[in-house]
Amino acid sequence: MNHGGKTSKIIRDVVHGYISLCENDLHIIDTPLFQRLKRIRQTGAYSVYPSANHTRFEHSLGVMHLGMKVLESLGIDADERISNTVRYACLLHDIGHAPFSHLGEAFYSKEELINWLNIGLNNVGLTNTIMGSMGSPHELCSCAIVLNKFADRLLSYGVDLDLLCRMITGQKYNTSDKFTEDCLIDILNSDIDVDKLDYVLRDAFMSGAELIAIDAERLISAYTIHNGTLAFSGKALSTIGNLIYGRNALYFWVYNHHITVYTDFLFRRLIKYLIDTVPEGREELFTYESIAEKLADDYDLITFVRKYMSIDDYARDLYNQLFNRAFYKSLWKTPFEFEAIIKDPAHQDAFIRLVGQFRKEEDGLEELERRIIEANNGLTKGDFYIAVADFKPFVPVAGKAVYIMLGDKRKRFQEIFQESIFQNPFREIPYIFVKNEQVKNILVNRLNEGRLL
Amino acid sequence: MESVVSAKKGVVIGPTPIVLAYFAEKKRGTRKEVTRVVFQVAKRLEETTIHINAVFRGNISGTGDAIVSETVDEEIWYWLSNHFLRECQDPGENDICFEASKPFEEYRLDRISQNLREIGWPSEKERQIFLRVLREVISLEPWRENL
Repeated sequence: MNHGGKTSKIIRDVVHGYISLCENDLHIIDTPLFQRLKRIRQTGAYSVYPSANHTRFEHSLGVMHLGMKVLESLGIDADERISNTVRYACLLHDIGHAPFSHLGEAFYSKEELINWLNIGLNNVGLTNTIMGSMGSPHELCSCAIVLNKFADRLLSYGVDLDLLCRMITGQKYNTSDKFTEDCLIDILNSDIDVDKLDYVLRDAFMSGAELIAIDAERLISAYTIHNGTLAFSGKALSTIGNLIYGRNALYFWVYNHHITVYTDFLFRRLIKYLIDTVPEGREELFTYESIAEKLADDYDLITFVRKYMSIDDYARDLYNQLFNRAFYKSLWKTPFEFEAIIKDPAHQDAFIRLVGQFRKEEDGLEELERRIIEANNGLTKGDFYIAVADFKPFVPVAGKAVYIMLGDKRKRFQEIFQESIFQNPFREIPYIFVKNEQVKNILVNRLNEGRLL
Repeated sequence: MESVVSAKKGVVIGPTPIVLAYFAEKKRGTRKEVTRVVFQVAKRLEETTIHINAVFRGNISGTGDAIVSETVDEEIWYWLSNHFLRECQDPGENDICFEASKPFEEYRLDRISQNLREIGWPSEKERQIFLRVLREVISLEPWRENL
Protein backbone atom coordinates (compact mmCIF):
# COMPACT_ATOMS: atom_id res chain seq x y z
CA MET A 1 0.00 0.00 0.00
CA ASN A 2 1.45 3.30 -1.06
CA HIS A 3 1.24 5.99 1.58
CA GLY A 4 3.90 8.29 0.22
CA GLY A 5 7.23 7.50 1.76
CA LYS A 6 9.20 4.80 3.49
CA THR A 7 9.18 4.45 7.24
CA SER A 8 11.52 6.92 8.80
CA LYS A 9 10.53 6.69 12.42
CA ILE A 10 8.94 4.10 14.66
CA ILE A 11 7.43 5.26 17.91
CA ARG A 12 6.17 3.25 20.83
CA ASP A 13 2.55 3.87 21.76
CA VAL A 14 1.19 2.72 25.10
CA VAL A 15 -1.98 1.29 23.53
CA HIS A 16 -1.03 0.01 20.07
CA GLY A 17 2.67 -0.75 20.43
CA TYR A 18 4.86 0.35 17.54
CA ILE A 19 3.50 2.97 15.13
CA SER A 20 5.40 3.61 11.89
CA LEU A 21 5.76 7.13 10.57
CA CYS A 22 7.11 8.18 7.19
CA GLU A 23 8.86 11.40 6.17
CA ASN A 24 5.60 12.88 4.92
CA ASP A 25 3.95 12.27 8.28
CA LEU A 26 6.76 14.05 10.07
CA HIS A 27 6.34 17.13 7.89
CA ILE A 28 2.85 17.40 9.40
CA ILE A 29 3.48 16.11 12.90
CA ASP A 30 6.49 18.35 13.44
CA THR A 31 4.54 21.55 12.91
CA PRO A 32 3.47 23.93 15.69
CA LEU A 33 -0.19 23.27 14.87
CA PHE A 34 0.09 19.53 15.33
CA GLN A 35 2.44 19.78 18.31
CA ARG A 36 -0.23 21.97 19.96
CA LEU A 37 -2.25 18.76 20.42
CA LYS A 38 0.28 17.67 23.06
CA ARG A 39 -1.22 20.47 25.16
CA ILE A 40 -4.88 19.57 24.61
CA ARG A 41 -6.15 17.02 27.10
CA GLN A 42 -8.23 14.20 25.74
CA THR A 43 -10.77 13.96 28.56
CA GLY A 44 -11.87 15.49 31.84
CA ALA A 45 -11.69 12.13 33.58
CA TYR A 46 -8.40 13.10 35.31
CA SER A 47 -10.44 14.63 38.15
CA VAL A 48 -11.49 11.11 39.16
CA TYR A 49 -8.75 9.01 37.55
CA PRO A 50 -5.56 11.03 38.11
CA SER A 51 -3.47 9.26 35.50
CA ALA A 52 -5.90 10.03 32.67
CA ASN A 53 -3.75 12.91 31.46
CA HIS A 54 -3.32 11.76 27.88
CA THR A 55 -3.71 14.22 25.04
CA ARG A 56 -5.15 14.60 21.56
CA PHE A 57 -1.61 14.13 20.18
CA GLU A 58 -1.23 10.43 20.95
CA HIS A 59 -4.93 9.85 20.19
CA SER A 60 -4.41 11.31 16.69
CA LEU A 61 -1.41 9.03 16.07
CA GLY A 62 -3.44 6.07 17.32
CA VAL A 63 -6.36 6.86 15.02
CA MET A 64 -4.02 7.11 12.03
CA HIS A 65 -2.44 3.78 12.95
CA LEU A 66 -5.83 2.07 13.25
CA GLY A 67 -7.20 3.76 10.11
CA MET A 68 -4.37 2.36 8.01
CA LYS A 69 -4.83 -1.11 9.49
CA VAL A 70 -8.53 -1.05 8.66
CA LEU A 71 -7.79 0.11 5.12
CA GLU A 72 -5.39 -2.81 4.71
CA SER A 73 -7.94 -5.20 6.14
CA LEU A 74 -10.65 -4.05 3.73
CA GLY A 75 -8.51 -5.14 0.81
CA ILE A 76 -9.36 -2.07 -1.25
CA ASP A 77 -6.96 -1.44 -4.09
CA ALA A 78 -5.72 1.69 -2.41
CA ASP A 79 -3.76 4.02 -4.64
CA GLU A 80 -1.87 7.03 -3.32
CA ARG A 81 -5.03 9.17 -3.32
CA ILE A 82 -7.04 6.76 -1.17
CA SER A 83 -4.23 5.67 1.09
CA ASN A 84 -2.98 9.16 1.89
CA THR A 85 -6.46 10.62 2.23
CA VAL A 86 -7.39 8.03 4.85
CA ARG A 87 -4.01 8.43 6.55
CA TYR A 88 -4.15 12.21 6.89
CA ALA A 89 -7.87 12.45 7.62
CA CYS A 90 -7.22 10.20 10.61
CA LEU A 91 -4.07 12.05 11.65
CA LEU A 92 -5.64 15.52 11.37
CA HIS A 93 -9.22 14.80 12.45
CA ASP A 94 -8.78 16.49 15.85
CA ILE A 95 -6.37 19.29 14.92
CA GLY A 96 -9.14 21.83 15.43
CA HIS A 97 -9.92 20.85 19.00
CA ALA A 98 -10.30 23.69 21.47
CA PRO A 99 -8.46 24.00 24.78
CA PHE A 100 -9.73 21.23 27.05
CA SER A 101 -11.30 19.47 24.05
CA HIS A 102 -15.08 19.13 24.20
CA LEU A 103 -15.33 21.38 27.20
CA GLY A 104 -13.82 24.30 25.27
CA GLU A 105 -15.49 23.36 22.01
CA ALA A 106 -18.79 24.55 23.45
CA PHE A 107 -17.53 28.13 23.15
CA TYR A 108 -16.71 27.99 19.45
CA SER A 109 -19.00 29.90 17.13
CA LYS A 110 -20.14 27.52 14.39
CA GLU A 111 -20.93 30.51 12.18
CA GLU A 112 -17.36 31.76 12.42
CA LEU A 113 -15.93 28.31 11.72
CA ILE A 114 -18.17 27.88 8.68
CA ASN A 115 -16.87 31.20 7.34
CA TRP A 116 -13.29 29.97 7.66
CA LEU A 117 -14.22 26.62 6.18
CA ASN A 118 -15.72 28.38 3.17
CA ILE A 119 -12.57 30.47 2.78
CA GLY A 120 -10.53 27.27 2.78
CA LEU A 121 -12.88 25.58 0.33
CA ASN A 122 -12.64 28.55 -2.03
CA ASN A 123 -8.86 28.52 -1.82
CA VAL A 124 -8.71 24.95 -3.09
CA GLY A 125 -11.59 25.24 -5.55
CA LEU A 126 -14.04 23.07 -3.62
CA THR A 127 -16.84 25.59 -3.28
CA ASN A 128 -20.15 24.10 -2.12
CA THR A 129 -19.10 20.48 -2.17
CA ILE A 130 -18.97 20.26 1.62
CA MET A 131 -21.87 21.56 3.66
CA GLY A 132 -20.79 23.66 6.59
CA SER A 133 -23.73 22.65 8.77
CA MET A 134 -22.41 19.11 9.03
CA GLY A 135 -20.16 17.97 11.80
CA SER A 136 -19.37 19.26 15.24
CA PRO A 137 -17.57 22.57 15.81
CA HIS A 138 -14.13 21.03 16.35
CA GLU A 139 -14.51 19.00 13.16
CA LEU A 140 -15.37 22.12 11.19
CA CYS A 141 -12.34 23.79 12.72
CA SER A 142 -10.16 20.78 11.81
CA CYS A 143 -11.32 20.99 8.18
CA ALA A 144 -10.80 24.75 8.09
CA ILE A 145 -7.24 24.31 9.41
CA VAL A 146 -6.51 21.50 6.96
CA LEU A 147 -7.72 23.59 4.02
CA ASN A 148 -6.11 26.85 5.08
CA LYS A 149 -2.84 25.56 6.55
CA PHE A 150 -2.02 22.13 5.13
CA ALA A 151 -3.66 22.11 1.68
CA ASP A 152 -0.54 22.58 -0.45
CA ARG A 153 1.41 19.90 1.37
CA LEU A 154 -1.49 17.43 1.35
CA LEU A 155 -2.15 18.03 -2.35
CA SER A 156 1.49 17.26 -3.02
CA TYR A 157 0.93 13.91 -1.26
CA GLY A 158 -1.98 13.20 -3.61
CA VAL A 159 -4.64 13.71 -0.92
CA ASP A 160 -8.26 14.24 -1.99
CA LEU A 161 -9.19 17.22 0.20
CA ASP A 162 -12.91 16.93 -0.47
CA LEU A 163 -12.92 13.31 0.72
CA LEU A 164 -10.66 14.13 3.67
CA CYS A 165 -13.07 16.78 4.96
CA ARG A 166 -16.02 14.49 4.39
CA MET A 167 -14.25 11.79 6.42
CA ILE A 168 -13.72 14.24 9.29
CA THR A 169 -17.29 15.59 9.31
CA GLY A 170 -19.07 12.37 8.32
CA GLN A 171 -20.65 13.73 5.17
CA LYS A 172 -21.33 11.01 2.63
CA TYR A 173 -21.60 11.34 -1.13
CA ASN A 174 -24.49 8.87 -1.52
CA THR A 175 -23.99 8.57 -5.25
CA SER A 176 -23.61 5.32 -7.11
CA ASP A 177 -20.04 6.07 -8.21
CA LYS A 178 -18.80 6.82 -4.69
CA PHE A 179 -19.40 3.55 -2.81
CA THR A 180 -15.70 3.18 -2.01
CA GLU A 181 -15.43 6.75 -0.75
CA ASP A 182 -18.51 6.31 1.46
CA CYS A 183 -16.93 3.20 2.99
CA LEU A 184 -13.78 5.20 3.69
CA ILE A 185 -15.91 7.83 5.44
CA ASP A 186 -17.29 5.04 7.66
CA ILE A 187 -13.77 4.13 8.74
CA LEU A 188 -13.51 7.45 10.60
CA ASN A 189 -17.16 8.25 11.14
CA SER A 190 -19.58 5.45 11.94
CA ASP A 191 -20.82 3.45 14.93
CA ILE A 192 -17.64 1.40 15.11
CA ASP A 193 -14.99 3.69 13.72
CA VAL A 194 -11.29 4.02 14.44
CA ASP A 195 -11.79 7.27 16.38
CA LYS A 196 -14.09 5.53 18.89
CA LEU A 197 -11.94 2.43 18.95
CA ASP A 198 -8.84 4.43 19.89
CA TYR A 199 -10.48 6.60 22.53
CA VAL A 200 -12.23 3.66 24.17
CA LEU A 201 -8.98 1.70 24.35
CA ARG A 202 -6.88 4.71 25.34
CA ASP A 203 -9.24 6.19 27.94
CA ALA A 204 -9.73 2.78 29.53
CA PHE A 205 -5.99 2.13 29.67
CA MET A 206 -4.90 5.58 30.79
CA SER A 207 -7.60 5.93 33.42
CA GLY A 208 -6.59 2.61 34.90
CA ALA A 209 -10.25 1.65 35.09
CA GLU A 210 -9.97 -1.99 34.13
CA LEU A 211 -13.40 -2.16 32.57
CA ILE A 212 -12.81 -3.72 29.20
CA ALA A 213 -10.78 -6.17 27.22
CA ILE A 214 -10.95 -5.54 23.49
CA ASP A 215 -9.02 -7.49 20.92
CA ALA A 216 -8.48 -4.61 18.50
CA GLU A 217 -6.45 -6.72 16.07
CA ARG A 218 -9.30 -9.20 15.73
CA LEU A 219 -11.84 -6.44 15.25
CA ILE A 220 -9.77 -4.75 12.58
CA SER A 221 -9.14 -7.97 10.73
CA ALA A 222 -12.92 -8.46 10.60
CA TYR A 223 -13.64 -5.25 8.67
CA THR A 224 -14.96 -6.04 5.23
CA ILE A 225 -17.09 -4.61 2.43
CA HIS A 226 -20.31 -6.30 1.42
CA ASN A 227 -22.42 -4.93 -1.44
CA GLY A 228 -20.75 -1.56 -1.22
CA THR A 229 -21.29 -1.27 2.53
CA LEU A 230 -18.90 -1.50 5.44
CA ALA A 231 -19.46 -4.67 7.47
CA PHE A 232 -17.76 -7.04 9.90
CA SER A 233 -17.19 -10.73 9.49
CA GLY A 234 -18.77 -12.93 12.14
CA LYS A 235 -15.42 -13.67 13.78
CA ALA A 236 -15.60 -10.22 15.41
CA LEU A 237 -18.88 -10.88 17.23
CA SER A 238 -17.35 -11.28 20.69
CA THR A 239 -15.06 -8.29 20.22
CA ILE A 240 -17.91 -6.07 19.05
CA GLY A 241 -19.89 -7.12 22.10
CA ASN A 242 -16.95 -6.23 24.34
CA LEU A 243 -16.55 -2.88 22.61
CA ILE A 244 -20.19 -1.95 23.12
CA TYR A 245 -20.24 -3.09 26.75
CA GLY A 246 -16.87 -1.44 27.34
CA ARG A 247 -17.93 1.88 25.88
CA ASN A 248 -21.08 1.92 28.01
CA ALA A 249 -19.01 1.06 31.09
CA LEU A 250 -16.61 3.90 30.32
CA TYR A 251 -19.51 6.32 30.09
CA PHE A 252 -21.01 5.21 33.35
CA TRP A 253 -17.90 4.76 35.50
CA VAL A 254 -15.46 7.26 33.96
CA TYR A 255 -17.02 10.03 31.82
CA ASN A 256 -20.28 10.24 33.76
CA HIS A 257 -18.90 9.69 37.23
CA HIS A 258 -20.62 12.41 39.27
CA ILE A 259 -17.29 14.10 40.04
CA THR A 260 -16.27 14.15 36.36
CA VAL A 261 -19.66 15.60 35.49
CA TYR A 262 -19.32 18.22 38.21
CA THR A 263 -15.76 19.30 37.39
CA ASP A 264 -16.68 19.60 33.70
CA PHE A 265 -19.69 21.63 34.75
CA LEU A 266 -17.68 23.92 37.05
CA PHE A 267 -15.04 24.54 34.42
CA ARG A 268 -17.64 25.26 31.78
CA ARG A 269 -19.63 27.58 34.05
CA LEU A 270 -16.46 29.41 35.10
CA ILE A 271 -15.23 29.86 31.52
CA LYS A 272 -18.67 31.01 30.42
CA TYR A 273 -18.86 33.53 33.24
CA LEU A 274 -15.37 34.88 32.58
CA ILE A 275 -15.67 35.24 28.81
CA ASP A 276 -19.06 36.92 29.24
CA THR A 277 -17.41 39.30 31.69
CA VAL A 278 -14.11 39.64 29.79
CA PRO A 279 -15.17 39.31 26.14
CA GLU A 280 -11.62 39.25 24.75
CA GLY A 281 -11.33 35.84 26.39
CA ARG A 282 -13.40 34.28 23.64
CA GLU A 283 -11.24 35.88 20.96
CA GLU A 284 -8.05 34.75 22.65
CA LEU A 285 -9.13 31.16 23.17
CA PHE A 286 -12.11 30.01 21.15
CA THR A 287 -11.90 31.42 17.63
CA TYR A 288 -10.41 29.91 14.49
CA GLU A 289 -7.57 32.44 14.56
CA SER A 290 -6.80 31.78 18.23
CA ILE A 291 -6.31 28.10 17.36
CA ALA A 292 -4.78 28.31 13.88
CA GLU A 293 -2.57 31.36 14.42
CA LYS A 294 -1.99 31.71 18.16
CA LEU A 295 -2.04 27.99 18.98
CA ALA A 296 -4.32 28.42 22.01
CA ASP A 297 -4.06 25.43 24.34
CA ASP A 298 -4.95 24.19 27.81
CA TYR A 299 -2.23 26.30 29.42
CA ASP A 300 -3.59 29.48 27.83
CA LEU A 301 -7.04 28.69 29.16
CA ILE A 302 -5.77 28.04 32.69
CA THR A 303 -3.73 31.26 32.55
CA PHE A 304 -6.82 33.19 31.49
CA VAL A 305 -8.89 31.66 34.28
CA ARG A 306 -6.22 32.44 36.89
CA LYS A 307 -5.90 36.00 35.66
CA TYR A 308 -9.58 36.76 36.08
CA MET A 309 -10.78 34.36 38.77
CA SER A 310 -10.76 37.13 41.40
CA ILE A 311 -13.10 39.29 39.40
CA ASP A 312 -15.87 38.69 41.98
CA ASP A 313 -17.01 36.22 44.64
CA TYR A 314 -18.96 34.08 42.19
CA ALA A 315 -15.92 33.45 39.96
CA ARG A 316 -13.69 32.98 42.99
CA ASP A 317 -16.00 30.35 44.43
CA LEU A 318 -16.18 28.40 41.16
CA TYR A 319 -12.39 28.58 40.86
CA ASN A 320 -11.89 27.48 44.46
CA GLN A 321 -14.15 24.49 44.02
CA LEU A 322 -12.50 23.46 40.78
CA PHE A 323 -8.82 24.04 41.49
CA ASN A 324 -8.77 23.39 45.24
CA ARG A 325 -11.16 20.46 45.06
CA ALA A 326 -13.58 22.13 47.45
CA PHE A 327 -16.59 20.58 45.75
CA TYR A 328 -20.20 20.98 46.76
CA LYS A 329 -21.87 17.70 47.68
CA SER A 330 -24.24 15.97 45.33
CA LEU A 331 -27.74 15.25 46.66
CA TRP A 332 -27.45 11.84 45.03
CA LYS A 333 -24.69 9.99 43.21
CA THR A 334 -26.63 7.17 41.60
CA PRO A 335 -30.15 6.60 40.26
CA PHE A 336 -30.77 4.39 43.30
CA GLU A 337 -30.00 7.24 45.71
CA PHE A 338 -32.11 9.57 43.57
CA GLU A 339 -35.10 7.24 43.94
CA ALA A 340 -34.51 6.96 47.68
CA ILE A 341 -34.33 10.74 48.22
CA ILE A 342 -37.29 11.73 46.02
CA LYS A 343 -39.74 9.08 47.10
CA ASP A 344 -42.77 9.76 44.93
CA PRO A 345 -42.19 8.60 41.32
CA ALA A 346 -44.43 11.43 40.11
CA HIS A 347 -42.13 13.96 41.78
CA GLN A 348 -39.10 12.19 40.32
CA ASP A 349 -40.69 12.53 36.87
CA ALA A 350 -41.51 16.19 37.46
CA PHE A 351 -37.86 16.92 38.21
CA ILE A 352 -36.58 14.90 35.23
CA ARG A 353 -39.08 16.63 32.95
CA LEU A 354 -38.20 20.08 34.24
CA VAL A 355 -34.44 19.64 33.80
CA GLY A 356 -34.92 17.88 30.45
CA GLN A 357 -36.64 20.94 29.02
CA PHE A 358 -33.87 23.30 30.07
CA ARG A 359 -30.72 21.26 29.74
CA LYS A 360 -30.02 21.68 26.04
CA GLU A 361 -30.74 25.39 25.87
CA GLU A 362 -28.02 27.98 25.88
CA ASP A 363 -27.75 29.04 29.53
CA GLY A 364 -30.78 26.83 30.19
CA LEU A 365 -29.67 25.27 33.46
CA GLU A 366 -28.48 28.62 34.75
CA GLU A 367 -31.93 29.98 33.97
CA LEU A 368 -33.55 27.05 35.77
CA GLU A 369 -31.37 27.66 38.84
CA ARG A 370 -32.41 31.35 38.76
CA ARG A 371 -36.11 30.41 38.65
CA ILE A 372 -35.72 27.95 41.52
CA ILE A 373 -34.00 30.64 43.60
CA GLU A 374 -36.81 33.09 42.81
CA ALA A 375 -39.42 30.55 43.86
CA ASN A 376 -37.80 29.53 47.12
CA ASN A 377 -36.93 31.73 50.07
CA GLY A 378 -33.58 31.04 51.62
CA LEU A 379 -31.74 30.28 48.37
CA THR A 380 -29.29 32.60 46.64
CA LYS A 381 -27.10 32.45 43.53
CA GLY A 382 -24.27 29.98 43.95
CA ASP A 383 -26.02 27.94 46.68
CA PHE A 384 -26.52 25.01 44.31
CA TYR A 385 -25.82 23.91 40.76
CA ILE A 386 -27.63 21.52 38.42
CA ALA A 387 -25.47 19.41 36.11
CA VAL A 388 -26.43 16.69 33.64
CA ALA A 389 -24.23 13.98 32.17
CA ASP A 390 -24.24 13.20 28.48
CA PHE A 391 -24.52 9.76 27.01
CA LYS A 392 -24.15 8.98 23.34
CA PRO A 393 -26.03 5.70 22.99
CA PHE A 394 -24.83 3.05 20.65
CA VAL A 395 -27.82 2.63 18.39
CA PRO A 396 -26.81 0.61 15.37
CA VAL A 397 -29.58 0.66 12.78
CA ALA A 398 -30.03 0.21 9.11
CA GLY A 399 -28.68 3.11 7.16
CA LYS A 400 -25.67 3.45 9.44
CA ALA A 401 -23.79 0.95 7.31
CA VAL A 402 -22.37 -1.33 9.96
CA TYR A 403 -23.39 -4.96 9.54
CA ILE A 404 -22.08 -8.35 10.56
CA MET A 405 -21.67 -11.16 8.05
CA LEU A 406 -22.78 -14.58 9.26
CA GLY A 407 -21.99 -16.95 6.45
CA ASP A 408 -23.40 -15.24 3.36
CA LYS A 409 -26.13 -13.47 5.37
CA ARG A 410 -25.76 -9.83 6.30
CA LYS A 411 -27.25 -9.16 9.75
CA ARG A 412 -27.91 -5.96 11.63
CA PHE A 413 -26.50 -5.78 15.15
CA GLN A 414 -29.87 -5.82 16.88
CA GLU A 415 -30.78 -9.00 15.04
CA ILE A 416 -27.87 -10.71 16.78
CA PHE A 417 -27.45 -9.08 20.16
CA GLN A 418 -30.00 -8.58 22.90
CA GLU A 419 -31.49 -5.08 22.90
CA SER A 420 -30.01 -4.38 26.30
CA ILE A 421 -26.50 -4.52 24.91
CA PHE A 422 -27.13 -1.21 23.16
CA GLN A 423 -28.20 0.62 26.24
CA ASN A 424 -26.56 2.11 29.24
CA PRO A 425 -28.30 0.16 31.99
CA PHE A 426 -28.53 3.20 34.25
CA ARG A 427 -30.82 6.20 34.12
CA GLU A 428 -29.38 9.54 33.09
CA ILE A 429 -30.25 11.40 36.28
CA PRO A 430 -29.50 15.13 36.58
CA TYR A 431 -27.37 15.98 39.62
CA ILE A 432 -27.89 18.80 42.12
CA PHE A 433 -24.73 19.90 43.95
CA VAL A 434 -25.35 21.90 47.15
CA LYS A 435 -23.26 24.26 49.23
CA ASN A 436 -24.36 23.13 52.69
CA GLU A 437 -26.92 21.19 54.75
CA GLN A 438 -29.37 24.08 54.87
CA VAL A 439 -29.55 24.30 51.08
CA LYS A 440 -29.82 20.53 50.89
CA ASN A 441 -32.79 20.50 53.27
CA ILE A 442 -34.64 23.21 51.38
CA LEU A 443 -34.19 21.47 48.02
CA VAL A 444 -34.94 17.95 49.25
CA ASN A 445 -38.15 19.20 50.88
CA ARG A 446 -39.23 21.03 47.73
CA LEU A 447 -38.43 18.05 45.52
CA ASN A 448 -40.50 15.77 47.72
CA GLU A 449 -43.37 18.25 47.69
CA GLY A 450 -43.14 18.35 43.87
CA ARG A 451 -42.90 22.14 43.82
CA LEU A 452 -39.38 23.17 42.97
CA LEU A 453 -40.81 26.12 41.03
CA MET B 1 -24.45 18.89 30.19
CA GLU B 2 -24.94 22.51 29.30
CA SER B 3 -24.66 23.41 25.68
CA VAL B 4 -23.44 26.88 24.88
CA VAL B 5 -22.45 26.80 21.22
CA SER B 6 -23.27 30.29 20.04
CA ALA B 7 -23.72 31.90 16.71
CA LYS B 8 -22.76 35.53 16.53
CA LYS B 9 -26.35 36.64 16.39
CA GLY B 10 -29.80 35.18 16.86
CA VAL B 11 -30.82 32.36 19.13
CA VAL B 12 -29.42 28.85 19.42
CA ILE B 13 -31.80 26.19 20.70
CA GLY B 14 -31.41 22.48 21.32
CA PRO B 15 -33.47 19.72 19.71
CA THR B 16 -35.63 19.16 22.83
CA PRO B 17 -38.80 21.07 21.83
CA ILE B 18 -38.74 19.50 18.36
CA VAL B 19 -38.36 15.94 19.66
CA LEU B 20 -40.96 16.37 22.40
CA ALA B 21 -43.46 18.05 20.06
CA TYR B 22 -42.99 15.15 17.65
CA PHE B 23 -43.81 12.55 20.32
CA ALA B 24 -46.66 14.67 21.70
CA GLU B 25 -48.27 14.67 18.26
CA LYS B 26 -47.33 11.32 16.79
CA LYS B 27 -46.98 9.21 19.96
CA ARG B 28 -44.38 7.00 18.27
CA GLY B 29 -41.60 7.32 15.75
CA THR B 30 -38.48 5.65 14.49
CA ARG B 31 -35.03 7.02 15.13
CA LYS B 32 -34.85 7.92 11.45
CA GLU B 33 -38.14 9.83 11.54
CA VAL B 34 -37.26 11.82 14.63
CA THR B 35 -33.83 12.66 13.21
CA ARG B 36 -35.38 13.67 9.89
CA VAL B 37 -37.81 16.04 11.63
CA VAL B 38 -35.05 17.74 13.63
CA PHE B 39 -32.90 17.97 10.49
CA GLN B 40 -35.73 19.45 8.42
CA VAL B 41 -36.54 22.04 11.07
CA ALA B 42 -32.84 22.95 11.30
CA LYS B 43 -32.56 23.14 7.52
CA ARG B 44 -35.62 25.36 7.13
CA LEU B 45 -34.37 27.69 9.84
CA GLU B 46 -30.90 27.98 8.28
CA GLU B 47 -31.61 31.31 6.64
CA THR B 48 -33.19 32.79 9.78
CA THR B 49 -31.58 33.96 13.01
CA ILE B 50 -32.70 30.77 14.77
CA HIS B 51 -30.16 27.94 14.85
CA ILE B 52 -30.69 24.38 16.02
CA ASN B 53 -27.74 23.17 18.05
CA ALA B 54 -27.37 19.70 16.59
CA VAL B 55 -24.70 17.75 14.72
CA PHE B 56 -25.85 15.89 11.61
CA ARG B 57 -24.00 13.30 9.54
CA GLY B 58 -24.73 11.26 6.45
CA ASN B 59 -26.24 12.56 3.23
CA ILE B 60 -27.19 16.18 3.82
CA SER B 61 -28.30 16.90 0.28
CA GLY B 62 -31.34 14.59 0.36
CA THR B 63 -34.59 14.71 2.29
CA GLY B 64 -33.00 13.67 5.54
CA ASP B 65 -33.63 9.92 5.20
CA ALA B 66 -29.92 9.14 5.32
CA ILE B 67 -29.11 11.56 8.12
CA VAL B 68 -27.94 10.49 11.56
CA SER B 69 -27.36 12.73 14.54
CA GLU B 70 -25.69 11.94 17.85
CA THR B 71 -27.41 15.04 19.25
CA VAL B 72 -30.83 13.58 18.49
CA ASP B 73 -29.70 10.20 19.85
CA GLU B 74 -28.63 11.88 23.11
CA GLU B 75 -31.99 13.63 23.35
CA ILE B 76 -33.90 10.41 22.78
CA TRP B 77 -31.66 8.64 25.28
CA TYR B 78 -32.40 11.15 28.07
CA TRP B 79 -36.14 10.53 27.80
CA LEU B 80 -35.76 6.80 27.08
CA SER B 81 -33.48 6.13 30.06
CA ASN B 82 -35.91 7.97 32.31
CA HIS B 83 -38.88 5.98 30.98
CA PHE B 84 -40.69 8.86 29.25
CA LEU B 85 -40.10 6.96 26.02
CA ARG B 86 -39.86 3.21 25.51
CA GLU B 87 -38.84 1.02 22.62
CA CYS B 88 -41.78 -0.18 20.50
CA GLN B 89 -42.68 -3.84 20.78
CA ASP B 90 -43.09 -4.08 17.01
CA PRO B 91 -40.23 -1.97 15.71
CA GLY B 92 -40.45 -3.09 12.11
CA GLU B 93 -37.67 -4.28 9.89
CA ASN B 94 -35.35 -1.42 9.34
CA ASP B 95 -35.18 0.89 12.30
CA ILE B 96 -35.39 1.17 16.03
CA CYS B 97 -38.73 2.63 17.11
CA PHE B 98 -39.76 4.59 20.19
CA GLU B 99 -43.12 5.45 21.68
CA ALA B 100 -44.18 7.89 24.36
CA SER B 101 -44.86 6.15 27.65
CA LYS B 102 -45.70 9.37 29.46
CA PRO B 103 -47.57 12.29 27.93
CA PHE B 104 -45.87 15.38 26.57
CA GLU B 105 -49.15 17.25 26.37
CA GLU B 106 -47.57 20.65 26.94
CA TYR B 107 -45.65 20.14 23.68
CA ARG B 108 -48.69 19.42 21.53
CA LEU B 109 -48.77 21.83 18.63
CA ASP B 110 -52.05 23.39 19.73
CA ARG B 111 -50.58 24.12 23.16
CA ILE B 112 -46.89 24.57 22.52
CA SER B 113 -47.29 28.24 21.66
CA GLN B 114 -48.24 28.87 25.27
CA ASN B 115 -45.55 26.60 26.65
CA LEU B 116 -42.32 27.47 24.93
CA ARG B 117 -41.36 29.93 27.59
CA GLU B 118 -38.11 28.42 28.72
CA ILE B 119 -36.32 29.41 25.52
CA GLY B 120 -34.81 32.87 25.70
CA TRP B 121 -36.38 34.18 22.50
CA PRO B 122 -34.95 37.57 21.53
CA SER B 123 -38.43 38.60 20.39
CA GLU B 124 -41.91 37.23 19.73
CA LYS B 125 -41.05 37.17 16.02
CA GLU B 126 -38.40 34.45 16.43
CA ARG B 127 -40.74 32.37 18.56
CA GLN B 128 -43.47 32.55 15.93
CA ILE B 129 -41.07 31.62 13.10
CA PHE B 130 -39.89 28.57 15.05
CA LEU B 131 -43.45 27.47 15.81
CA ARG B 132 -44.53 27.87 12.20
CA VAL B 133 -41.63 25.78 10.89
CA LEU B 134 -42.14 23.15 13.59
CA ARG B 135 -45.84 22.82 12.72
CA GLU B 136 -45.12 22.58 9.00
CA VAL B 137 -42.44 19.91 9.35
CA ILE B 138 -44.33 17.74 11.82
CA SER B 139 -47.51 17.91 9.78
CA LEU B 140 -45.58 16.57 6.76
CA GLU B 141 -44.49 13.44 8.63
CA PRO B 142 -46.67 10.32 8.24
CA TRP B 143 -49.03 9.45 11.09
CA ARG B 144 -47.43 6.46 12.74
CA GLU B 145 -50.70 5.09 14.10
CA ASN B 146 -51.83 4.40 10.54
CA LEU B 147 -48.73 2.49 9.50
